[in-house]
Amino acid sequence: MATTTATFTLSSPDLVSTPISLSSTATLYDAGTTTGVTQVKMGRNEIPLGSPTNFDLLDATAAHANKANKFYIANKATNDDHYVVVTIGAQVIGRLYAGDWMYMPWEAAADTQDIEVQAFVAAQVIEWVVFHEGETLNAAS
Amino acid sequence: MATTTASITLSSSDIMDNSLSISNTATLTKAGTATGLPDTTSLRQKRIASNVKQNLLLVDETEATALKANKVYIKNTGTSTAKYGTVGITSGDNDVEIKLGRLYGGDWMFIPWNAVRGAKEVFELTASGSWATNNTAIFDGVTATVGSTQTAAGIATVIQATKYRNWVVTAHGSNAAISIFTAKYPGVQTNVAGDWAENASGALAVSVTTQGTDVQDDITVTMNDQTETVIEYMAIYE
Repeated sequence: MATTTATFTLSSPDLVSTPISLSSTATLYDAGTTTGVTQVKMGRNEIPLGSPTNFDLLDATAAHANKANKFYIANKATNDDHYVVVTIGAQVIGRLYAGDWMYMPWEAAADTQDIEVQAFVAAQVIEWVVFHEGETLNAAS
Repeated sequence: MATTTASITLSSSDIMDNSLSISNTATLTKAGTATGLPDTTSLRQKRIASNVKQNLLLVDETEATALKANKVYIKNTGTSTAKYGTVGITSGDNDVEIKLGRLYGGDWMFIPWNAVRGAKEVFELTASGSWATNNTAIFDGVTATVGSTQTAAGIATVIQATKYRNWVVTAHGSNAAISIFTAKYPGVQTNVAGDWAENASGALAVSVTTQGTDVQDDITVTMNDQTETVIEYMAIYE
């Protein structure tokens, strides 16, 4: 059993009148258990600008469905106005501007929950990781 | 200008043969600029002892501007690895929920937030004819009653003085017979043909000038268990 952790830290000396320092660490388990998550995929891709506009990044599959999957995406662009729109199916989650990252659970229960990305202003490179369970290799055809 | 940073470290010594360690720090800035995100809800808690969908973060509870660099943090502070909250975003008419994923006890998430809000419907109500004493106009579950014979402008004044549940009523700038109804919330819509019921010698005509929409990026959570669980959340926005 693997031990994998995801640690978040948010800090600001001046967003509000009292400095903010928020930290949280989660250990990643298979759904409903204390068994550490054992499957991981990662990649680095350039999202082209133009047509087609939306690109599949992560395909929801039956194997992933209704599990404790998590994914991370970082936009590696450096120009402030470059951004990537991340959608789950037809629903826009939000915009990752240059240097932004996101981390969230992923239900992945249906094709309508594919994770898609679209680059705006310029082609952009993203890095991504998904922790998941239940996936088996398909027989070669 | 505020300086706020969000950092993540994904770490495992044994999920693969070699150690995995991915770290990233983002400085949270307004869309397309180097200016720090200025606004926050601060950290909030919601105690949930229900397995029915709960509103967590409503667009209308913040002043977040749509289509910007807004961010949201959510954590399930529970300790059970069997109990989880499914986080969703409402989408489109009828509050259809798109499920994002499950936060088990101890899990957290940090995402960009589109924060699109729906348009509030606006319609004009034009009164005409002469209205007799005790004539009524029923709308939104509220009855406006004419106390004495009124002209079209007079009934408009009566209607503008009436308090409606889901609408704010104002006078038209140049036509005294017209009242302007603005929905209090996105998604409140009028049925032009059938929402008004008059028992009157005069008449009312409805004309929608702004079509309301229910597209609203509200964030919801649905627990799988009724044991009280505390969900922490925070938006940082512009």
